[in-house]
Amino acid sequence: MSASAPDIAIRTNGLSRAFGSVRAVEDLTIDVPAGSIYGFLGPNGAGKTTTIRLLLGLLEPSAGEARVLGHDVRTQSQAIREQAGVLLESDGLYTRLTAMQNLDYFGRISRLSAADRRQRIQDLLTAMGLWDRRDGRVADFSTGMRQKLALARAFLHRPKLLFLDEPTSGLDTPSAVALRRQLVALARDEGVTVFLTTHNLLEAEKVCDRVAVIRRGLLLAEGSPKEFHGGRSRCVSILGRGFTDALVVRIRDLAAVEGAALESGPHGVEGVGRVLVDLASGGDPAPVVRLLVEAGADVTSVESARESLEDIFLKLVEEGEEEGMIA
Amino acid sequence: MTDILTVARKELREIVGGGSGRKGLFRELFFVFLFGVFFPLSQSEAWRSGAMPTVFVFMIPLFLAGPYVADTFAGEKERKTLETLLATRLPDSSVYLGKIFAVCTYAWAVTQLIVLASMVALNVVDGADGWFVYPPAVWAAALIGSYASALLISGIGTFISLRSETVRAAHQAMMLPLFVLIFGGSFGIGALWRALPVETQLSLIEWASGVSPLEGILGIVALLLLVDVFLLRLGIRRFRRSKLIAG
Repeated sequence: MSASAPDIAIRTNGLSRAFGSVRAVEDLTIDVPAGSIYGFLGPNGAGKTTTIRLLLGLLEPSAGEARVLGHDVRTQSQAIREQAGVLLESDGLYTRLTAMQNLDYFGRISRLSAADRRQRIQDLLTAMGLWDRRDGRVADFSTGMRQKLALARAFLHRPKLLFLDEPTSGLDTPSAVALRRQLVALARDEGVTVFLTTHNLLEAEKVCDRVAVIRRGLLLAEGSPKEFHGGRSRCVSILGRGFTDALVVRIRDLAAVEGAALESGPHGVEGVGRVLVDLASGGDPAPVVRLLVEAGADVTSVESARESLEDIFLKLVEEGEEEGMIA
Repeated sequence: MTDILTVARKELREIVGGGSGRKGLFRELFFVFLFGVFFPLSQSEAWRSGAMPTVFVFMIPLFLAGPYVADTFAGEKERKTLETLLATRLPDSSVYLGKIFAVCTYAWAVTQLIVLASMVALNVVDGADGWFVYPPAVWAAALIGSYASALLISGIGTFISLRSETVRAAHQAMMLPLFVLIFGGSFGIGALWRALPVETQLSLIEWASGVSPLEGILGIVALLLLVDVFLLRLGIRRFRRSKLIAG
């Protein structure tokens, strides 16, 4: 693998890590563009945390290679950690120390000058709404306050790369929204690369430039949220009267249609039914509407029922599950 | 060195004030009262002769450093702060040595307080013959012997602490080396002495009679320091990020 180009913050090639017979990460090959927000999604035990540990040089790969900010994870991990800010599964705060003492410790570790350290701590604690609690012991903080403090610690030394494991967990909605905005601003304005793991798929869809889905250590899919949607079928919801099972069978026979189902149940108005149609990639709903109208049905609305990233994620994981079961 | 001091500073803050607060202060005051006032006044002659304080300054750091060294590694694992610390730029050796340095410095400082308190107590109770000051051998033992002793238990404790998942497990496991060092030291040396042939005992007594107490103390400290250096080197080799994270 050649040295990473400056526009690639993280490049892995066949990166693998096994614990005995358990393969936590297997043959992972990804490129994370510098200054982007990269979502790393997967169910519990998928290998997300192991991947972060490998990229930080906290674990040695069993096979493959990775370069982070141009540094080899095997031989130059200290240089990586120097430029990375982290928020891991656990907030890693010293509960017997105050908020100020926690940040001061990590500021000293990062060798910030005394003046810069003081200013930076004040700015971050103020931004996180914790300045008034700076001398409070972390043991007395709520989960949300601890999460904010841990985030402040991750931002403290102005890292070029942020590894954030579930950064909005424990935060209230306004704080989570503010954090997302802050992450987007960091990436866009300061060129900080954010490697983000999350279970909140709406969050990934909102902030991530690229998304990877991992399951049992294997990369299932990777691309921008748009590519995720574009590469898959499109769901269309058609509302109207006179929809029958026979019509749905005829819709399924259309070339652009991958599937169709008549949804039973009330839709607000008596006699109104809904047909859900899965169109192939790039498919047009017009032939479906034409067929319905020509058959005498009354179409009142056609809406794109775009799959959420959550639906796609679940499908990917289920597909992976089935493949794994077959294998 | 800056990194070691940074880690040590935070550890000392947690040991002395940050966490344990009044409870921690009470512990130190108890030790100072017990070893610095109660024992010296109960056996003032033995303390004035210099033999008893010499034994105590080697022994007290074991009690003081032992629990904290157990806490410093197993505690970080249990409280899940170790991984975040290891994800920083700090070299492995700085984290390890910073923690050891903090624990030993704490044990050493409290030992000095105890020595000073005992001297004051002896003078207050019986100061008729003028101001009593410990002989140089006691000061040598206090100033460098106590640190060597703290390093010894810290070196041993590191291995126990790194292998323990919880602080409680580490504390329990620390009891064995503490017993071995304290009781093994006194009973073991006595048993070894009795096992020696009489001729060897006599030649050792003859050799020892030519050695001053200060030289004797310095010899013991030198031996301890050799063992300490060996243990610290082993500890540095064992304290590796990849090993700690992989379990």
